[in-house]
Amino acid sequence: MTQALFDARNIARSYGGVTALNNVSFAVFEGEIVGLIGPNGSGKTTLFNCLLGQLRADGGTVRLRGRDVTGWRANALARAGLGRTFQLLQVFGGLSVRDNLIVAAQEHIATLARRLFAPRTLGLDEQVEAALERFRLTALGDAPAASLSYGQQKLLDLAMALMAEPDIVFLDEPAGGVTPSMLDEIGEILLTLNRVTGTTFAIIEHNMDFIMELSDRVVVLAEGEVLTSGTPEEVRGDERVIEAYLGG
Amino acid sequence: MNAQGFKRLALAAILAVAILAPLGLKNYGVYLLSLWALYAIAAQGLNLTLGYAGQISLAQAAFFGIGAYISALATTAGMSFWLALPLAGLACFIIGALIGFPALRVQHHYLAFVTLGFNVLVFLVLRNEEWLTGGTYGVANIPRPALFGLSLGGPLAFYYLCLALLVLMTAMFWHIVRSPWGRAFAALRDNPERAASLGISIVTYTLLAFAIGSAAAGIAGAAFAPLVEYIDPTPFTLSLSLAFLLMVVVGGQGTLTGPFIGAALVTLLPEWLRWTEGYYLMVYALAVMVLMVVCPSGLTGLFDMARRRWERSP
Ligand SMILES: Nc1ncnc2c1ncn2[C@@H]1O[C@H](COP(=O)(O)OP(=O)(O)OP(=O)(O)O)[C@@H](O)[C@H]1O
Ligand SMILES: [Mg+2]
Repeated sequence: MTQALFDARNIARSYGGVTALNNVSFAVFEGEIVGLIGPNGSGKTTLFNCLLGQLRADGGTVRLRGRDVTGWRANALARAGLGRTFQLLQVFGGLSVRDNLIVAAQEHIATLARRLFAPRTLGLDEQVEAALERFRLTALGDAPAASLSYGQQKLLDLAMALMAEPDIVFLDEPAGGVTPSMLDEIGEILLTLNRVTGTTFAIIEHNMDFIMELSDRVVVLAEGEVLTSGTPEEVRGDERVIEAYLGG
Repeated sequence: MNAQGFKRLALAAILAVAILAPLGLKNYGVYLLSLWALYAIAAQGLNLTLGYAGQISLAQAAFFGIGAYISALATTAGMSFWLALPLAGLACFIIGALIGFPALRVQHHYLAFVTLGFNVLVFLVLRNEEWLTGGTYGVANIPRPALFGLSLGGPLAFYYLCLALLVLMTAMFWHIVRSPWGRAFAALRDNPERAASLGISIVTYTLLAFAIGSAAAGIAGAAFAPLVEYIDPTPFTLSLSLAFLLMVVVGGQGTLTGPFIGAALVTLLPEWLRWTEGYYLMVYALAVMVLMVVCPSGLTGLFDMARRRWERSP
């Protein structure tokens, strides 16, 4: 079996006395789109936060390309090639759209000292313009991010997660609160990136149609444990999955 | 005119006024202007820490004091001022970075208390460690420097030294806030969690914000010592830290011109209000209260409002 690009084993986490994650293992292979689904409160966001350094796990190991990255800080993981978005969209409202995109990639360029004396855009101009175009934000490049509509901010949020060209991108509900037409657009962008650029994705989503169509493989979380995983078809037909959603 | 052009014009106007202002003033007036320039440097530093990086500090006077004592002790011992000045900046840069560590754990009013504690600590060291600082006797006969054999001993010459320092430091801050560092500071202030997820090191930039801000206070303090020629611990108490905070907030935090205006108000306004006799502090306090309620973004915010209104009118 090939080595997983990203391999988390036995991740545990509790809040006070409440167990949010009970020995969850979660692997992602190069080039995959993995869906992570589960009822509200099943621990999906907690898992992402433990994997990406926002939360400290109580136990477990995380490997990236076989390298042990357990306990690394979020910024170190980002620089090692992990990108992400958050469940609640998070752009820097006071910065312009362009600056949001640049700041999303700048720490991957040169050293700290060199960045102080580097040109303002750090040579990212082309990449920024390409991102603006891809997410149809070109006309808004100089506007403060806070002035954008929710949908546009959601696109910007996604564009930021992709700016540093991460090896694997974790998205927490990219379809949340998005209009149907924009949903198609986001799905298309993700597929293109996956098929053309080879970007690997792990995506938390409640929108079943969206995630089932996009994913190569789906992992189901329920009450802090992996209930099952398989192809979208397998998971769709699984009695336990239906029960977990209805029973929750 | 766009906001950028307006900013440049404002800075140029301030510089022109600052160059011409001392001409025709008596010694005391020139002294006040020098004090303004040095306070503005320290306020610029705090403005980076607070206004751009979003970290409160009530220890700016401590760094001003540390810079002043390093400069005073070094130059009275025979070291050149031109060596003592960067030395004071470097020392405060390092101590400032150390003071940044608590900011990695606590924020807002907790951080205010931590930095306040540091200010008290430094004051006590300055007062009690007589062998080093001269205690309450202070350090006297602090020499004023010369530059290329040109004495900067006169009030006017020394003022222009302070002003040159201010211009230099402002240019440095202008560069920093417009550089990728400035963008990282802004991102961190806005949303540390998101910033970290994009590879921005909270540790590095928080410590940097404190270190740079403190270094500015150290450099200002280093020039303050020869300005007053005699120092003791009294100026470097919490009330000066609060005054620096006031300069930044009243001037308009997160703007380059704010600290100039804030420092001018805090240094000069009490003098101009002297004709109100015993009431000047009250008038002053009231004016600050009104300003903060009407325009929390400070005086530069007020000017911005006026500019936009003026642009809209035909
Ligand atoms: N900061 C917190 N403090 C205490 N309990 C928390 C905290 N965050 C999450 N929890 C609890 O941990 C469990 C898992 O929450 P989590 O947010 O990971 O679920 P989720 O699968 O992402 O849910 P959703 O689909 O609603 O986003 C829930 O029971 C939740 O109440
Ligand atoms: Mg969630």
